[in-house]
Amino acid sequence: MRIDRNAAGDAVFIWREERERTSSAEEVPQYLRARRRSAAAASWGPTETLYVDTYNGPGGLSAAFRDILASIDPIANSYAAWTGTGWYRVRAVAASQVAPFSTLTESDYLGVGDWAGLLSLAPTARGEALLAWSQWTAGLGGQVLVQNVPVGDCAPPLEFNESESGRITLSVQQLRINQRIYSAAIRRANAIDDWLGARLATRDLCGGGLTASVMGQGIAVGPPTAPRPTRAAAPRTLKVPPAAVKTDVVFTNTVEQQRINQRIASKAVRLANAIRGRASTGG
Amino acid sequence: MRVSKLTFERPADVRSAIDATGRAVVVWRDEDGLKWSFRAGLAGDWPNARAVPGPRDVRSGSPVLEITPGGIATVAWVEIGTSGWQVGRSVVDLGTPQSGWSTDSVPHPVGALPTLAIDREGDVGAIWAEVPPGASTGDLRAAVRPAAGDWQPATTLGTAAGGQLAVAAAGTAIAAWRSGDGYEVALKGPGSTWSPPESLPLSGRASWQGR
Repeated sequence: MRIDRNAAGDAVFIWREERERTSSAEEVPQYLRARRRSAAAASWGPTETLYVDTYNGPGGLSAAFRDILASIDPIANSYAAWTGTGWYRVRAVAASQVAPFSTLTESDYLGVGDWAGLLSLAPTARGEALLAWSQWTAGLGGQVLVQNVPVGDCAPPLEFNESESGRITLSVQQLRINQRIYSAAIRRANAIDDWLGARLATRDLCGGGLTASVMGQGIAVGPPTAPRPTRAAAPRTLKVPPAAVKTDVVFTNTVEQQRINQRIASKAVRLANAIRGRASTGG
Repeated sequence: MRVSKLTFERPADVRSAIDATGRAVVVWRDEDGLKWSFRAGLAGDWPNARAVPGPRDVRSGSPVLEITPGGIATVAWVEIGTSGWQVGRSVVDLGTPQSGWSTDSVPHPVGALPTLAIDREGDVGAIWAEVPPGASTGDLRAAVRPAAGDWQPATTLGTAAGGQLAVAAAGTAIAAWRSGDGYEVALKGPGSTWSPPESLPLSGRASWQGR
């Protein structure tokens, strides 16, 4: 078990728990649990599960969860870290006072080695903690590693998906397809510009996502003065109008039509440039 | 992920502390006592190990380490003195690490070796069980030493084989220990008074074992 408190009396308590085996061969789930105390309410919250393991090898529960660290910062963000089975996997989780801990899964780990030992879990009072551990791997030797453990549940940014183009033909149909692509780019750029122009709303931001670690050098990040919600973002809808399909237009492969397509494509680029200009001037 | 490398020679009880600016200290125990290394930032290098002056017979598992927001590193440990165990404490100003550590040791009554705790202000706490010969549990005792003061009187919290302790600013603390099918927890305010123990049951099934 591990316990920590802050000056106000908020506390976090972590322990490991298993059901007694009826035989040495029986596999039983083993749990890493937490309860947190609110100083304002002067009471302990419900039991939370940080991880469930079915390790049944030597050492049992002691081997399933090793090096447990618990920490709580001045505004009651709680942090837990431990090493677990599957070689030595390093795991950590954080939660604000107003959000539950996530239950990590087998694939949620920060590091893995032939051996790993946690060293410290130090809150920075900026909505994250720094976790340090030593790790030894055959061929790589020993290392001390440091990683930030942010509070919050922000989804990772969507990755740019550059899909392969389909079959291209030199045809009027292809000309029409290209024009639709250019038009779609214009509609999306306009929608992004409108979205930014309406100013950011709280719901656009992932609570706990703007930590010191995502800020560039020169931006001073002071400690928050109160617990912050760490809900995932629920951004305002990006209103992209549907394509306007003109049914009475005859498409021909002419110089004039190529010029029209070029104008549409150029407009998409100019709109993207305008958005880039807003970003580069802070507008 | 930021990665740096520090090589140890026969280390035990490796402890590290990092402040909000990335200044980091690592302390570990070897056959000669305590060694330490200090890194000035997240991207810095680890210089060669140096000795923390004073401690020699540091008990296994005992060192604790923290850095205050003002850059004072504090390490505390348990060693065997002339009249039982004692808690040593040493501090160094990371702004002038070349000035070295200043060390003192405070003797404690005889009892099972304590578990230490330290907070980010440099306050140190100790919790230990005074288990009579042949018994499995005894009086669970705890004491806190604020960074700027002496050890406060030890208090008996309950009956247990041992416990865990955390200290916080101004000499406040919290302790937890096994009791029956669950745990008991007590909080300490800035003075030396502890709250009555509060039960924290496990998940409601007596057959579950918590550790």
